[in-house]
Amino acid sequence: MVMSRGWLVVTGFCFVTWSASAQDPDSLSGTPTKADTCGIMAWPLANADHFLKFEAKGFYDSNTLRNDLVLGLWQGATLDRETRQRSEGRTDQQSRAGYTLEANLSYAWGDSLWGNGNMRPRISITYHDVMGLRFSDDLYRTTFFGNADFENATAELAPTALEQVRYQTFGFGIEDKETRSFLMLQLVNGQSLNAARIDRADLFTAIDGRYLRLDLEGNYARSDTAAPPGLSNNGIGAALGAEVNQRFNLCHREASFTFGIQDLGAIVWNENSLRIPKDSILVYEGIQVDDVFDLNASITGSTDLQDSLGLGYVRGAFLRLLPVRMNARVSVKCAHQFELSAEVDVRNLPGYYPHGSLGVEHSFAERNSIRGEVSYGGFGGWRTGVRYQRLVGKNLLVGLLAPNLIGLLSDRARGRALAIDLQYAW
Amino acid sequence: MLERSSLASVASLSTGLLFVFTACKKEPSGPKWDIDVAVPLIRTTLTIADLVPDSLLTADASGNVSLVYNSQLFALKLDTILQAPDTSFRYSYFPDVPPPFMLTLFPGTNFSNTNDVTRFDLDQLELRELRVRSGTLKLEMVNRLQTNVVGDFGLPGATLGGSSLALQVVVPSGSSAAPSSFVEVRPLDGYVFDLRGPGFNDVNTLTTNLTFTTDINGPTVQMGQADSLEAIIRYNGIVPAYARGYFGMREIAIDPDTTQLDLFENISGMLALEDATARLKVRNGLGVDARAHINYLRSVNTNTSTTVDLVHPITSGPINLDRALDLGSSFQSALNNYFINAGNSNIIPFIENLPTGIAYDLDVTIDPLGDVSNGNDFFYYESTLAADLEVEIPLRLAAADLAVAAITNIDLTGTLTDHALQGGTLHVFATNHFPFSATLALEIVDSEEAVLALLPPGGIINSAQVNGSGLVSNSVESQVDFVITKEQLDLFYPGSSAGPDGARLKIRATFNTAGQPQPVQLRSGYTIDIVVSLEGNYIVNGDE
Repeated sequence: MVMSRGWLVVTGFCFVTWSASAQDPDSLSGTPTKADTCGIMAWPLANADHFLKFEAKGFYDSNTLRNDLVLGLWQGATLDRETRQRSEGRTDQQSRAGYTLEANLSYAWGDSLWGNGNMRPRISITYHDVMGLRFSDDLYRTTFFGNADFENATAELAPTALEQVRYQTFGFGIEDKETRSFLMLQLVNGQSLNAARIDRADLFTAIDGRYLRLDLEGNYARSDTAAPPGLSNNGIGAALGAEVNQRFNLCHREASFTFGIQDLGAIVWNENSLRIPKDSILVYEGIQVDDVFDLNASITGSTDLQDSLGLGYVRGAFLRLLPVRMNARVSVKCAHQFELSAEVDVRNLPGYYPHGSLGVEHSFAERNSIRGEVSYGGFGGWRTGVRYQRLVGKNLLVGLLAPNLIGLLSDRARGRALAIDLQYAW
Repeated sequence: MLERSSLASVASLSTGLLFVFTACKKEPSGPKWDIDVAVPLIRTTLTIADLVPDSLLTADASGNVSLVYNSQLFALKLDTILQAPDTSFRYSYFPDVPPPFMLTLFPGTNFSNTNDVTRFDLDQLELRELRVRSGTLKLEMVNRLQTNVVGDFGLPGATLGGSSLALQVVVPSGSSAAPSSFVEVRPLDGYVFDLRGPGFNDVNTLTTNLTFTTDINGPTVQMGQADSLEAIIRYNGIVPAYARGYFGMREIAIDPDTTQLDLFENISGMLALEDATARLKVRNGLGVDARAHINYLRSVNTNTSTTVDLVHPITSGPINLDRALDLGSSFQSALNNYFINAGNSNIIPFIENLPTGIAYDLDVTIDPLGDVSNGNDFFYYESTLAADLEVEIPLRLAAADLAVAAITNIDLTGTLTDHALQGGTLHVFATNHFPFSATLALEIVDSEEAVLALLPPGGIINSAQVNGSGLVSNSVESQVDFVITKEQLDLFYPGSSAGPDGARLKIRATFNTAGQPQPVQLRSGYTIDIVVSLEGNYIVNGDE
């Protein structure tokens, strides 16, 4: 079903591309030009000597969890049973969820670098807080409804994976002034990590809860938990970021191709980091007490419980890859100030599927453009979005993106996302 | 009982990987939702040592367990009976001249030199030696002469480290109308009083020396009949550390009393023992012979208001108690043992009465044969006449409806209005290796132990299988359930209708041995393996 809908969209995109091409005679003579535009809208200062860009985005998506549940979790609300049931997953697909909270400030300046008139320096600073999660339906059910329904049965809590990482990058590099392609080397500050990958977790609940048996294969890692809140340093790393922009002709239409890669690197989390590697069967029959008449003295905290289950932490430094993101985009200009585009991106986060989107952008009144898109993948399913850009004066370009329109407006939908970008050139 | 971190941990574990979702949580207040959990809470293994303090248990080579219980019936200190009362002596000096003549006293005149023999009135005691643990000597001198008077006071029979007690005081000048006085208090701690007097052949007697001298730098004064000098000597609060002499034949009545026993506290029902022995140990730390008349030694069960008097030769006739041995600076008590068994007494029904206390009434006569020690009776401050009852009960027994109750505080987390556990069913799984069954009941009680709720249904942990010798051949598994509602859980929280401190949980277990009336043998290796699980409704983050 998913595949058939996907093919339908691709076929539709090709049809629209062919139709637009057929209806615009000027497009036959179109040739690639310099990047003096921004998207479909003309912006003469796009290649100015100074280019400052700020982007901020907050994306949350899921293919199963509805917004009312996630908002309730976020806000610390009481979640009624109906709310939890609405977000229950379907067995025909892996449940996924995740969010991205990122803010980036970049600056490119000058008209040459080392005598090369096409190059100029570029710096950037970026804050990242991302989480990816994929989980089984049984994990959702046991978490939100308990394990009582699994008495004398096995709940398959895996495959499940989580990665939540906060880090900051400080980059410097070079940019091609004409195409805005760039290559950057980034220094990475690792703030926090919370990651688990569980390949097998079969939880058997005996009748009346007499015992639990967990067949577990997985690992868990986290950064130093004693670090103070805020922008602490619990790890350090390095990464590469690059983007290639190239214009070309497609069926006599002006087209462009973009390939980018961000955060290709790793962080070495410090020696106070913790890990639990585990591949064993755990049988839990309750906490062993010495004096049943003095339980308060006998029962200890969760740390002792962890130790008694052999789930004690291993302390030490380790290397972990960053959630690298790669994206590719193709766009074709069409008649009547329309542009069609297709984009796909992937990210090294659990639950993040290849994310594809098809969009149609139209510029109007010289200073405005609006783009509609339909997309699938990432942490979510199908969704439609819209983007609006406006040129303010001759120096400032403001963009607002709502990639999940329905999610933005409805608590019953899945996903909520908003992004803003400001570009200033002089 | 259901301690916060443990139950939260159990819930977290049992419900999978909650942290995955709590990663989305916005601090500080966590989201709440209810889950139905089926989780094991605790597991434990009970041995006989968990039912009876292991300090009271012994086991033979076969593992057969006996209970040994020791209780002190009484301890009598003789210093409360043989006391040295506060005593005063007054010494006065008048000039041996008739009025209106006066005696002229030049400076430095020694005009009175008294060597007195002081005799203490000590009831029937005839002491030869007294070592003082604490007490004071108070010397008060009154002067009516118009010159200072130097008083020298000495007790040659009272020594401390080899030096006899001596005091010199200066009493300021006075007059007949306004006499002056001087008081000095000297502690007597550690002094040894030789009470044999100057001839070393007396008792309760102490030599006293007292001398008055006018001030060598003072004026010459006239002394008439009205110008007396006085010295008052008081012995106050004398507590003997040691006394030796003849204490006299005397009868000491020990008031009837009851010694509480905690061994059978909160136990009721029928206990049938096959054997029991006891030993009455009387330790005489006094250096006197004694004779005791035990009027009764009584097993008292205040729960059933039943009593059983011990029938044994020690309760039907006098018992003679040997005297302690004086080691010079300490003593060695004389131990007098009296053995009580099923053959010479009714000790078994005495114990089967499940006494909550042992009542006794006895009289003690010291020196019943007179001064057989030739004046060498003694006691130390630490000397006592004490009696212990040591009971040994081989735990080969039959029990019918033997009920044990314990009340425990339930320290639940959260508050009356916000707590995670919302009710459910507690399942108790028992694998019993003991040759008795146990009927379990859980009651919620208030601070006055009034029952607020009985958790249904409860049930029986069945006895292990027992062979013809009364020994366990196979363990038996049982399950007992208790349903507890949210309203009943609320009672455990402070401020609930159960009171400001909340309710407590009363655990009642009623034991019945297998194959009654045949006795079964309890062995040290017997156990009950218990797992307690919970099927209940739990609110995640509900304790916040």
